[in-house]
Amino acid sequence: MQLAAIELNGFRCWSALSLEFPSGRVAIVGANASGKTSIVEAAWYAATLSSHRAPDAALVMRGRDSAVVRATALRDARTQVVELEIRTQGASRAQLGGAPVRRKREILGTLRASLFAPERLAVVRGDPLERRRFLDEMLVQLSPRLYATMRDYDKTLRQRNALLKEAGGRVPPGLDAWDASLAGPGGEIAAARAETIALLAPHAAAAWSAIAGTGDLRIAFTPNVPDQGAAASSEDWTKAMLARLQERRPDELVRGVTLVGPHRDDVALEIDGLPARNHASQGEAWLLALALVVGAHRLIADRTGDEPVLLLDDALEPLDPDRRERVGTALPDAQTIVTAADPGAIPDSLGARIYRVSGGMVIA
Amino acid sequence: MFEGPVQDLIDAFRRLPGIGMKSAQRLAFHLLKAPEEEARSLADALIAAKEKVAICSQCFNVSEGELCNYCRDNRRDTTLLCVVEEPGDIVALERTQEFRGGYHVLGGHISPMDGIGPADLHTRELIQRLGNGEVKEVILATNPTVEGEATAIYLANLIKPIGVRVTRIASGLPVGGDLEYADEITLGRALEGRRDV
Repeated sequence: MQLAAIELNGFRCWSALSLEFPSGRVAIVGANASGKTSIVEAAWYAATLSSHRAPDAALVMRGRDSAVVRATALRDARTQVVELEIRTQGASRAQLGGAPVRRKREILGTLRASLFAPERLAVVRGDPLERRRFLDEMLVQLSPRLYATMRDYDKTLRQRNALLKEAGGRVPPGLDAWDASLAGPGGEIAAARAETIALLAPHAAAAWSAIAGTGDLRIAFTPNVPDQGAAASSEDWTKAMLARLQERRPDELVRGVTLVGPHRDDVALEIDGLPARNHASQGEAWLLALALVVGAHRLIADRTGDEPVLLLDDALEPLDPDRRERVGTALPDAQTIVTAADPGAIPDSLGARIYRVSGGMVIA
Repeated sequence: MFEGPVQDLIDAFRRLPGIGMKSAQRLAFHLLKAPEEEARSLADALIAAKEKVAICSQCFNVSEGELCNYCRDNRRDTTLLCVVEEPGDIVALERTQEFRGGYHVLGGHISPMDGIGPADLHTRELIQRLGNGEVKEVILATNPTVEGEATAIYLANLIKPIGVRVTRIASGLPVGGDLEYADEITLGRALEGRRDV
């Protein structure tokens, strides 16, 4: 998979930009607020239909009604153009190969990408929610059907919470039915997460040791429902969840909220046996977030047979020169787009072509 | 805002399900432009429907008398009972010409977020109908939504102990459709429900 070209119109600070990318590595270099990140953000938007750092409305240039992102994806010598129009009023529009799509989700998979951005630090430092989000982003890439499962789970969870809230300590009628409704998709999600983390762990550990050079990384699923193991079926997880729901029912009735299920899962990240969330230095946390993104990238490439485009936004500057060189060597052999404010932060080992951004132009 | 009666009419339309501001205005102005008879016949139809149409005392379908035509029709198979959310679902099922059993309309689905529990649906009456042992199979034809599924599970839990067979309608691909254009969710469910040929 390759991003052959991107065109922006009224997207962030770009009133008009047309940029082509070679198959190898490109470093976009320019001063702060020159629009480097916006280019990466637009590529990520074309791949995922959402920005990693802002709601849609923030992407439209001030004074414009809409922003257009047109990305040309190249795969197996075949190009496909994704065109997305983000509007300040009304629903955004999507076209694939010049024709409107019935559902925007049909766009997904046309351009595949992996992203590291400073916001990814939250995967290491933030709440369990951040780790679940990162994990689920990966799950949906590996198995698109899970998108619907997660949507059903969230809806069922809201219904069940509404039921518990009004229960006033007594078992409300219909609770058994909501238990079963929740444990169905809940089991599917837990099984997929357990399996995916087991698959991710070796890739992430390899990326970690290649980038950091020291310390052992351990990644483990810490499910809310008693662990059924990576090989367990979704039916096994569903059964375990139903049993746990029975056990915790008295607490749930008192608290008026669902206490059991994958919405309370977490992922344990440990370096040399210590939880990274609290013990890792800022530099280590940064490297770990980068290793997770690279590990997920390798897993997705491995499982789908389609190597995503790797986007690294402001990833290198906080690292020491030695680590930067290591990153350059450790990165997968994918098309890679890196941004940096300081050209000196781009290690020689990256072998990147430099694109300079200044005054609203990109000089390749 | 329009003058009194016009705005009242628009507001009345807006309270109907599925009608937004624009549709309400269009309907209102259509009627204002139309001959007076049209408005009268609509008003008469509304009042007649409200006065004459009753709810079937057995299945809770809309009906013109005490019992609806399906409950009155003694050619139908009384050992089969199909449970649906709304009267409109019966019309859809009847179009198939495949089902000759009886119906039971729940009047919605359970949805705690909207404050609707099993007691707000015609579930008690359903269980009562199963009491005489005549019904051998209950087909749960609630919608394939989160709420419809939960309602189906609730009813299945309730009916199974009575010893009546409970089935759930299948979900899958539309006939005459193209696999290529099926969304991954429907296709995924269809794969799950595959069968030997």
